[in-house]
Amino acid sequence: MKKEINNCGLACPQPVLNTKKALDEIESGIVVSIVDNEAAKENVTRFAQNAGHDVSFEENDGKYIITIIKGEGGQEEVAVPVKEVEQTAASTIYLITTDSIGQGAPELGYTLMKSFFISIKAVEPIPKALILMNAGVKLACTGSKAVEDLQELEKKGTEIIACGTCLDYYKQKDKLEVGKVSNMFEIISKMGTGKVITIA
Amino acid sequence: MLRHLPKINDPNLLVGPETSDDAAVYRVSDDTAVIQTLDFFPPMVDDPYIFGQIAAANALSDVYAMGGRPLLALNIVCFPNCLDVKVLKEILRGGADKVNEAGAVIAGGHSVEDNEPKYGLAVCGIVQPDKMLSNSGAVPGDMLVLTKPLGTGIINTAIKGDIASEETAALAVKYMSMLNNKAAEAMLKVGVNACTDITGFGFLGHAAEMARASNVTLEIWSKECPVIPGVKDLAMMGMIPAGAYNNRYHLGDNVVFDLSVPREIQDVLFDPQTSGGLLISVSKNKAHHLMEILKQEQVPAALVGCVTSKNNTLISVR
Repeated sequence: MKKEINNCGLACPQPVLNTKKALDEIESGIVVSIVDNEAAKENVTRFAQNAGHDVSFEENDGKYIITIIKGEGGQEEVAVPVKEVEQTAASTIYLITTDSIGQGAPELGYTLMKSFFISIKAVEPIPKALILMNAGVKLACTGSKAVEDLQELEKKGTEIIACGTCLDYYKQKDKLEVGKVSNMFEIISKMGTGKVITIA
Repeated sequence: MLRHLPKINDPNLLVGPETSDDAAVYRVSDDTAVIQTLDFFPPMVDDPYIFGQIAAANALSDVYAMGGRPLLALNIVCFPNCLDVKVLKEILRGGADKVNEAGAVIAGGHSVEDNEPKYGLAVCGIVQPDKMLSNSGAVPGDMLVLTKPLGTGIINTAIKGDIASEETAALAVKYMSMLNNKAAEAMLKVGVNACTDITGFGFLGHAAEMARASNVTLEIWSKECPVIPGVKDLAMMGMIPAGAYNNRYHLGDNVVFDLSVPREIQDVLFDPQTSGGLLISVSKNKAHHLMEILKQEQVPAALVGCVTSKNNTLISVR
């Protein structure tokens, strides 16, 4: 189930209302909302996020293509079923959602994270990908002690993926030192291609 | 935009375009200065009588923000010939009633034909030159008072989308059509250092102009800023006018937010206001007295921050 709505040329709040209507009409699935100005992009994104949906966007030729996934249906459509993937160490993907491992003293958490990166470089074969989300994106940004470790892993062939929404939120987009910026769509697709271990 | 006009050298022009203030002030004698201001805009509500009141309250507000008293107003009207002239009558009646409430008189006006209706007033007021207020008098140590709750731009956007509740819409109308006269009287009684009114550039935009003109930094306490009930939910639903994003963009690094200030509160602080309240900078030892009088007069005011010596930003929000 995928619906596309073109909101180009429409002023706020019309793009939000059109997107809301399209989402209300489906139980689950994907709504792609196309807008042509920053305010509409922000408003549609905000609306969909607060309604509990997964949102990602791409900019293309002055237009913003906002992809909204509602319910389970949307995710099934993009994710490759895990059982088809060969479960080897080489297909291990780490989803890192924090810059400090575990609950407790933050200082200890940072030390553990540092130690995690030193150790993971030594593990054979190296992980297929590291996905950095939420505060995890800070690991790949200027000032982080993990930047060098991540650069080393990237050189060896590990894909480093940083969540764009998270970089925006923490205002770190121009401080990313390693890896590529990605959206929820790609991240979900990537997670479907290997065994995912979450570091939280 | 006004920066491109030639600079004026007239010692009697007490407030000109340089400080992005609310109105022009011209001294006609040692104890009297004339305040001149003009404001008009297209309707943001369907009811023409209410629109007239809001437009008039908005135009009169600039006189109050300078510490003055409005005397005389002239109507400015744009009106399409395809629309029933009864609508125009209602707009003008709304404006006249509001001007009357302010104790001033409407002495005529001018109209032109246009595709979309627009209405407002040119208002003339007076002030004693030594009692005149501008946005440039805030000093470190002052407290900041805001006299109306925020969120009318967001509510107007939601009204357009037919998504605002009746109660929320009614509150927006109540605050937009409320005169700033009681707040102005209170600050004249107490004696304050600076004032501006909150309109299209949003709370933070006008606060930044005050900070720039006064060469200080304003510290804003976001949790204390009054917000019309229902506005935060509408902001989270994406009912934010494009003007709020423009205001955020134009202020750029001049506003620094603590990480704890939620996104929807930031949006409310950038939200362009229609006929908003006054932002008053008052010395700390008078702030309590000012708040007491405002409370007695049922002005919905709140203490929203303080003034510090200038650091590397105009506004710091926490």
